[in-house]
Amino acid sequence: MIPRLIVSLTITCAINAQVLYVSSLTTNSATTITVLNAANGARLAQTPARAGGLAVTADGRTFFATDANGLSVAAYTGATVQLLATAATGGSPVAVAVAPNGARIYVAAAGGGNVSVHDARTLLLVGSVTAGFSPTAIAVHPDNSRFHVANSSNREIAVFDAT
Amino acid sequence: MALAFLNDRTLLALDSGAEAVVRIDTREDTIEGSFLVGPEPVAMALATNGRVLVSNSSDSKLRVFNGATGQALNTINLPVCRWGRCSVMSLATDGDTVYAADSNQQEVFAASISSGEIKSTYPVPAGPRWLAVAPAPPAN
Repeated sequence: MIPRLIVSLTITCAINAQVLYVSSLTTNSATTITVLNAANGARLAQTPARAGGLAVTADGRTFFATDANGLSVAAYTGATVQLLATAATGGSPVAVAVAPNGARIYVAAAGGGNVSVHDARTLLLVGSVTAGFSPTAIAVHPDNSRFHVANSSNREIAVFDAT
Repeated sequence: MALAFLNDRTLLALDSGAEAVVRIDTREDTIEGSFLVGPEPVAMALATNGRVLVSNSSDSKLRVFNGATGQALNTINLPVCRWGRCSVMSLATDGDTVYAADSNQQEVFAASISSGEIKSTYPVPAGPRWLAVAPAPPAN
């Protein structure tokens, strides 16, 4: 009998990309973030880090990684993976999104049922909203005015004013 | 579920339970329509020209759709999956390229979205779970 695997696939997207970020988690919980040249796979940097969801600013200068097994989000320099700042989040932060204007990031905490909003430069907490049951995905409107949160437990999408 | 803005009005939501992508009018907060995306979809992303990629775990494929019409454009067979199914996988898109990794492997595959061909294979540490692609930051 062929075992049925638990499956979870994730897609992220960027335009005119040149750098590929890969977070890895092995069975002994050793985790890394590896940065590759997207054109040829050459390794640019690698650092130990407990990373869950990833997001990158439009200019590539900063990327963000949630610690899905913890209660935090971290900011790193793009490509070189130098830690810039960390901030507390709700429980089990599984997704992070960057506002199109790069000013704020939004972290969905599936365990805590909330979304925390942080200044993208400092990671200082700007606000927090109760999103629903198991928020697992976020999309920020192109004009930065609202953000949408998908709650996986009840298949609903909540809309929030971002201003 | 997964979310992505197709444009400044339409939000796409992947409803894995319904095996469909739902188009939401964010000005009216109403559902415009939906289209089926294949068995057990688990992730979604946008590529250039309004193309939407959906990953299907049960048959180990990536399916490409026109996000506005739902028309199926292409199917990409992933070599990263074993036993006919994918394990934990991550994808990222960059123009016409999709990057795919399987947590059971130590590689990232780069494939053409339009042709479905695997273009390159990159070695990575074991257990790749998340991918992201971005412009290289300007040198200081």
